[in-house]
Amino acid sequence: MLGGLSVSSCVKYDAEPFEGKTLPRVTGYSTGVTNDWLYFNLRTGERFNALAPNRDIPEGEQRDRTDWDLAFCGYRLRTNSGTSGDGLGGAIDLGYGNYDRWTSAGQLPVDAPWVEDTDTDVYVTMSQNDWNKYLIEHQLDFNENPWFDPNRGPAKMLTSANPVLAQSMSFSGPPPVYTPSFHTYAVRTADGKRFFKIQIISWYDANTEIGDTGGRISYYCDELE
Amino acid sequence: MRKLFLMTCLFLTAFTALAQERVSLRFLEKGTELPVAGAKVAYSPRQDMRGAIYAVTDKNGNVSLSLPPRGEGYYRITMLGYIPLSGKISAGEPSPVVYLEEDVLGLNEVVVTGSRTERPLKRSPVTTQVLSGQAMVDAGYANLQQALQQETPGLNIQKVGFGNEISMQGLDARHVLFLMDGERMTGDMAGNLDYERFNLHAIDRIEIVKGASSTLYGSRATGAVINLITKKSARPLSIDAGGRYGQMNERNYKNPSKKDFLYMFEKNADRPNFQAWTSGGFKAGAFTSQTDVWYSSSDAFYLYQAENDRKVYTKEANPFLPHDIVLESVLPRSPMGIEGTEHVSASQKLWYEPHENLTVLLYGSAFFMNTYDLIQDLNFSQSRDFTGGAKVTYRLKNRFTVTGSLHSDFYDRFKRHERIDERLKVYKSRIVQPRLSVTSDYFRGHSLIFGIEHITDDLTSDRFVNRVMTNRSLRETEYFLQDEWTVNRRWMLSAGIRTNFSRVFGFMGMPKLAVKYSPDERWSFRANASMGYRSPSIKELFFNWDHLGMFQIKGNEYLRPEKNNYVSFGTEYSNKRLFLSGTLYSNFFRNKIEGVWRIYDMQYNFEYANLESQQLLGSEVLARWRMTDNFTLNGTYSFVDVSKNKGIQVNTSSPHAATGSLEYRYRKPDYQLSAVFNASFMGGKEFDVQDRVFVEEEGRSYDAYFRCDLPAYTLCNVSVSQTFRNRIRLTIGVDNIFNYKPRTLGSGITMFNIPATPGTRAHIQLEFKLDDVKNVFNRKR
Repeated sequence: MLGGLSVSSCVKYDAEPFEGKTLPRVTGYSTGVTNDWLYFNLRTGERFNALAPNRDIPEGEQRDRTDWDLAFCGYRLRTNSGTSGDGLGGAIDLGYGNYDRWTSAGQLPVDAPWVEDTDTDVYVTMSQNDWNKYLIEHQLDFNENPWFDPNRGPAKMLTSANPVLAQSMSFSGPPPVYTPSFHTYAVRTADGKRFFKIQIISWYDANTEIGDTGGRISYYCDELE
Repeated sequence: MRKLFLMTCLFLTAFTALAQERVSLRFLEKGTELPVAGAKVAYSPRQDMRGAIYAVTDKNGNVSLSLPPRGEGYYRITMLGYIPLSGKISAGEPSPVVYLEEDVLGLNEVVVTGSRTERPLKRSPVTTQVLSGQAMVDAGYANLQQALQQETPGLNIQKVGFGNEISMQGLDARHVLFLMDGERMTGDMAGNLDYERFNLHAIDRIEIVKGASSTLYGSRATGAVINLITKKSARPLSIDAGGRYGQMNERNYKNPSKKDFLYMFEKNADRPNFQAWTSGGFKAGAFTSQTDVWYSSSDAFYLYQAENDRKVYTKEANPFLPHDIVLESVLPRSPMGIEGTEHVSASQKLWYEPHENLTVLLYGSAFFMNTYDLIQDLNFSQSRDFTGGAKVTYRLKNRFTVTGSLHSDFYDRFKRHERIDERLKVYKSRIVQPRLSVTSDYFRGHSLIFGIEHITDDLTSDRFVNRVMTNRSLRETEYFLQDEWTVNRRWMLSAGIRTNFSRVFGFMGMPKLAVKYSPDERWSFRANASMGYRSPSIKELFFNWDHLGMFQIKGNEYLRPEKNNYVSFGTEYSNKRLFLSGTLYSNFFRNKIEGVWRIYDMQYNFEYANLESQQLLGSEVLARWRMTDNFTLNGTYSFVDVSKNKGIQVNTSSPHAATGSLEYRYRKPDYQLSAVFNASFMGGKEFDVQDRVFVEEEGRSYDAYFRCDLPAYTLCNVSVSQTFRNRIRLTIGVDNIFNYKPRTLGSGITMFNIPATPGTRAHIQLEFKLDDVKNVFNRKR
């Protein structure tokens, strides 16, 4: 009878394998670097900083380059536009779900307000290293200004990122909870000629270990032909 | 000569037997005319019932009594849930039918918690609130948590993102001891058990004793003891079964697809609000069995806050501030997820009573639960629990009764992956508790109990040392002695002491004294002075957990047990239609253990410490008024004042709480109707939350408290039940009929103080009751 009662035996693993994409590594404050951006050239499939923070494109150098289109740092995203890069990138929100419905660039609204990156709207979590440097620089007391506050969470700072794509995932806590909006977004490449759709699915990769803190984001990203 | 004497004796005996006349009585329930089976009937030729002989009614409510020819006799029938009845019978008269009336006011309940021995409620020196299991089912409650919240003033069970949080009149779960048939349980989180373990349909009654009861129950019985007494079958064979379907709390996902990354998460978030249960029992010869199985699932939902968080740092709570500071969050508050659950529990009890002096009880239960939170982290929580034990009671004539028992509880918690078939054990807790007690009513007027018990408490968790599963344990041996002395019909005294010894905390003594004075049958006055204690939990002692580098939760191996002195004065009035009870109390805590935020090593640390004293002053009123034969009104009110510490109120209780209900009952043979409207009121709350604030003028930040104001609220439910042919019952109910939804979730870490209600929701419930299965089958043949 006990065997029959066990709810655990009723857990069915019948989901189909995940066919989307997964970030190759965790990015953001937990690596010790606040602006730890992982760059993608959506046109060629090339990746930058895939092995370590700032190895291929150090923070700041991305502005003068047009060989990247999309970047991730924690749960924040950049496009090659505005304050992030000199490209013609940008993003628009296509609404909740319906990822498969968007197949071609012709479907995109003609008068869509493409939103470029700014450096006044989006915060990233500061790494503890950078917070300590900030305290030293401003001669602030370490014990009066801990990096983490139980009511406000970890320290944050403004960064250059895309304000529309900042809505693709929200954070609350403690305990830390990352919740995707499941909206589909269109991203314009740096050359302004090609378009990709993207939907953030999870803060975790499909094979994450139990107890893992996540960060290898799962997402869909395909070109709108 | 010897032979002649024997022959004469035999003749006289036979003559007497032959000369006696058997008289049958039939006892039926008033209104429904259902037989009252298993009732105890005392009968005696004397009106004062001296030298009474006892018999028990059979399944048809019949009892056969032997009376001398043309003689007269007197009887008195008692049965739980009915008003006791006395009468006179004469030999030669036709067998009468006697109707028993339901004990709507519950004044004749037998309680066990306040004394550890069975005693009528009115004769208990300790005030006990009794909630009938059947009444809770009649009121349409979905589970124990809802029943306790609606029926007990000042008790709040809050579902939060990671379990339940109970609070009661200024005290939290660590000061409220839950017992199942007098035995404690393990698997708690900050004192909170998985309350889903308790099958509402298996509960006969709940006894609530407020105040310190550590003399009888040891650690944690500092604020209240809630003892759940489970059912025991009194019929040859009976089966009950039922199902309940409720409206969903919230539809989170429409048509989940197997392609979805979160397919399992999406399905589990929207489980149906469904319950099914069955209970079976039999009584055959010396054996009695009771089996209860319960399945329940519920869907997860969100609570929303329309406005952004607003924090007020008052100068009153923070004298160093130049002025009150108000901070308003620039971001909207994220919705708060209330988890759904799926759980199943089964319990089996088997009694063996070969004769009236020996009772052997074997019991066991199993519980499995999946908790589906709304955190998309590819995990959900699983817990399982097994309890088991044996109890042997032997009565040596009227001298004393010896009870030996062994109780054990094994609890495990896992994290289970939502895409890969694997799980990880994160928590393992075991308690084993042998106990030996001796009770004696041998000395006239004295009811003595002496007991020895030992508790072994083992906890294995990944939160002690570097996220590696590590074991920590506590061992305590305790002795208790209590005498309840019925001085005369008016006065009763109860005195007791418990001594506790553990290697860590050494020796402690916990005395208690209770007095009851009843000038007549209507009035009672009670006074109670007792000490309570709570040993630090294993977590409070040994926890050492780094929360993702953000903060540290630290145990403190140097903690001392917290102790409290409880004093109460109560009065009680009752007549056939009215029951009133009022209690004034003071609960003074020393070395109270609390978690406080402290900054050192450049980070926040949540650390357990023995804090200064805290005093709770309060009063409680209980009322039950049977206005007519059909209408009954219930009301309770609780007031508590918790002392502030240097102008800061860290206690999150409301001073005012009340409950009320109006019941309508209509009973006739083959049809019963009951309708219950109940309301639970929680007054406004105002408390201070530890935080840090930046003062612009001074360019620096301070440790500071912000004030949290939460509004009063009332939750009202209505439930209507109809019972057809005494076998089928249909119940329709609506919870939260005025659609109350909290407009604020509380700021920051204060989110555990608002009711987790999705708004108005309806449910339907169908039950089948086969009290006498054998007869049903026979009739079919």
